[in-house]
Amino acid sequence: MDAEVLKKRLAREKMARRQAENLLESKSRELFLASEQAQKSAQLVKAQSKQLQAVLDHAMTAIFLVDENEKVVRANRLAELTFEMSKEELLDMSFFEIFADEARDKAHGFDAVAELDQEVDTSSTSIESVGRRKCGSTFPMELAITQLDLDDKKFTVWICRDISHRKEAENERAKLQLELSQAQKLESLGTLASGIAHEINTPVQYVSDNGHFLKDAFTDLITVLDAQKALLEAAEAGGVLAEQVGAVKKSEEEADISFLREEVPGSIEQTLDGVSRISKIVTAIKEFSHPGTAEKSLIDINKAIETTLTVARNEWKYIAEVETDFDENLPQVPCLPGEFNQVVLNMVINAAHAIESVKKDDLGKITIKTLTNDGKAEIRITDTGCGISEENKKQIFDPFFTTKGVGKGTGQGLSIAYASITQKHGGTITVESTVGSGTTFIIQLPLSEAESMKEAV
Amino acid sequence: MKGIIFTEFLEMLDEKFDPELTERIIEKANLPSGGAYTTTGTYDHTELVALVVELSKETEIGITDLVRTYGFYLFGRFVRGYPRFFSGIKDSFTFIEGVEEVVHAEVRKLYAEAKPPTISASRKGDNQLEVIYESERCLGDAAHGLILGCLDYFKEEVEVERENVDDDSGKKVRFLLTRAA
Repeated sequence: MDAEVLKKRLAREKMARRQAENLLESKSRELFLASEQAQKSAQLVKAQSKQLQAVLDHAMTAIFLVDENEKVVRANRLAELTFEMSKEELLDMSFFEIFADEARDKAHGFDAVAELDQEVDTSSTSIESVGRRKCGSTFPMELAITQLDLDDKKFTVWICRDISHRKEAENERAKLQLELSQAQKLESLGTLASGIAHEINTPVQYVSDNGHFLKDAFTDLITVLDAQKALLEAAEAGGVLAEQVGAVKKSEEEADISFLREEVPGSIEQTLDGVSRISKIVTAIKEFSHPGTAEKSLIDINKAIETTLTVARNEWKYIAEVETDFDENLPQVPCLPGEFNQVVLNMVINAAHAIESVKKDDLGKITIKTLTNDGKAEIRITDTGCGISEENKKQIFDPFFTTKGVGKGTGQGLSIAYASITQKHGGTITVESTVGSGTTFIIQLPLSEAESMKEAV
Repeated sequence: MKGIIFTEFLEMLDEKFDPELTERIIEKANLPSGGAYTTTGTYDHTELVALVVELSKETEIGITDLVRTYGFYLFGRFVRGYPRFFSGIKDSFTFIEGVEEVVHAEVRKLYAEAKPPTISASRKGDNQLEVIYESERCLGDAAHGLILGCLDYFKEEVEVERENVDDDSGKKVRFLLTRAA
């Protein structure tokens, strides 16, 4: 290679070296800028991640990000609180351990469905399941599941809400609705009973009037028959009108007049007694089913209890005898009459059921006593039934608590009675009981309002 | 076009001909860069065309043959310069199939502005591979030389059928490679 060629080549190599140096500088600058940009991006990502975690931690539901291997890769603060686990514990376990044993297979099913169809997204609809806390206690929860594809990996977002409180509220609402429906049913039965009582009253009235008429008429008729008998005896003794006397005597024998003279007065008396009892029952039904009022009125609770006992007679007459021990000096008590009658009815029916459950051959006894006690009207309803255990005593006023057999009790009677006496009447209702001996329910109603109510009248 | 294509071309001239000829055609081609290239720089591909044209005049060898020869030579240089691309590769078809996704992907990582040709390869049977070259630079002949260099490297007996697609510019060329049974 001659010198000229070498010179040219050297010149080109120098030029190429300068290009390379410029390129190196330029690339170094690009690298610096890219590095700076990367740092900024990393800071931004870190800040966004913090923001995201803050949002997640303040969410009112437990949120989990779960990978394809069922590992929790992210969990928020409420997830820790809900499942009573630390973040480390949550990140170290299989996600499905947060489900109660009986709900786990189904939860896997939700995940499988989501995997089969990318479009499956339950974020707008919820699924109910059962969660399990670290201590092992379980609780109802609501789930929303969403599938995510991040960097070619599949993740599932599980949003879990503890719905214990909501479930309790729903149950409470259902109970209230049932109570309301029961109350409406009783109200309509009351209205119906009142109507029927009114309809029965009219024929009972004329049966009673006619009975009294027949009683008086038969007394008159007996007088006529006595005179006729004397006439016949005189004619026979005088030996006159023998043929006519014979015919009358024959007709008397055929009609069995002597039997009628003996039996008809008693028969009429029994009829009048029966009609009188019908009338009493009808009156009791009318009083008992008197439409409830929202305001209290002064009532004679002795009379109210008597009325209720009449209405409920069929519930106790084959089981117990009822004895009343009323304080005749008991003042009128401020009451919601319909509700008070209902309370006494529930108590009497309960007493009858308690006696019936003992299954003795002879009748039990229900005693109802009224008295004034420390400025309050007190009603004591005592039965000789099975009694209530100490354990059950704590629950007898709870809604739907019952120890009666299927179809015998709804568990609402005492609960409704308790609510009515304590909340609507400002009174108390307590129980004294000995298992095997019997029970006494003690209702106390304040009399303090009575004076002012009297003045208002 | 990346500078390595130019530096290797000038290396080939020195090797196959002589340095005087190299300097002469650089001078005659009147290149904007003055013929000073670095492997990592980027230059107008028409400078390569100008160099080939001048070489053809000097040597009276056809441009097609020169470019194809250069492709063949360039493949050998790649083998020496970038052995990692050949690690574990046992045959030409496998290597050619990976050009787009392995070699060109690596080029794009280093040089975001690089515009390597599109090489799509698809098997037509156990012993046949269809390769389609496409580039605005119309260097189908260079691609042809590179394929031949590849077959030589793997020492395979493969028949290469070439067919220009659309026109004869060399912009899009289909190669059908058939291994001898």
